[in-house]
Amino acid sequence: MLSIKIQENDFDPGAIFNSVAYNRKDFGAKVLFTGVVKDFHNSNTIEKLFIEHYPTMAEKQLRKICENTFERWEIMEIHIVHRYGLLEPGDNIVNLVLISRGREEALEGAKFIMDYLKSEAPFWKKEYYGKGQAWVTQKIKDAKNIEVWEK
Amino acid sequence: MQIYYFSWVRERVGINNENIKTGAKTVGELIAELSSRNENYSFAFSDLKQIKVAIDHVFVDDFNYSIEQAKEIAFFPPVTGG
Repeated sequence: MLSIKIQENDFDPGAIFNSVAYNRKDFGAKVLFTGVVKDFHNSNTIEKLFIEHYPTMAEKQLRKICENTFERWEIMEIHIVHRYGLLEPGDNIVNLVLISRGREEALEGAKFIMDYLKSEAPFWKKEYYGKGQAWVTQKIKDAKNIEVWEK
Repeated sequence: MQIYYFSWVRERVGINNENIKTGAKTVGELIAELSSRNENYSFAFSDLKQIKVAIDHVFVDDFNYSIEQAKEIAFFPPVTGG
């Protein structure tokens, strides 16, 4: 089962976690990852974070990443929520819940999804500081994380 | 053909999207054509290493890629979601 939501509204990570696979007993591991707006970037204090996205492509890319995840591991359900719009430090950005037979595929699958989301899902962040603003640049580390999976 | 711009590419060009008619046959030819319009476009496309291209929602990493079948082309910087 696959659920992808791209929305402006907030979500409740705990409520999503509890509702996923509520009636199932055929899985052994359940992982929750939530990405949150931080209040710093290097020496700058972040006051707001704007997230822009390419709606049709974002949904397609997330779906593709999840389909690749299902092919690679025995993962039974993936539930993703990604927000866009103007957020503040402490706000939720992205939520991932997945279930699988065992621990290793759950943890690896979650990392795989987040690594690919970071480098292939069309979302962009712009940080607003006390003075000025800047688009976030992609980290070299994020591109390297993908290379590991491509091997 | 519909062209979309995102993030700082959108800010530099000054619009979100536009419908264009072009004789360009490849991504590279289209970029050259757009860049020649005015300084907003040439600024947006000044560092091609920072430009990602999607044709009909699929990443294309070759500027020689044909756009003759394309309905929608998007230009944007490397993504930073999550």
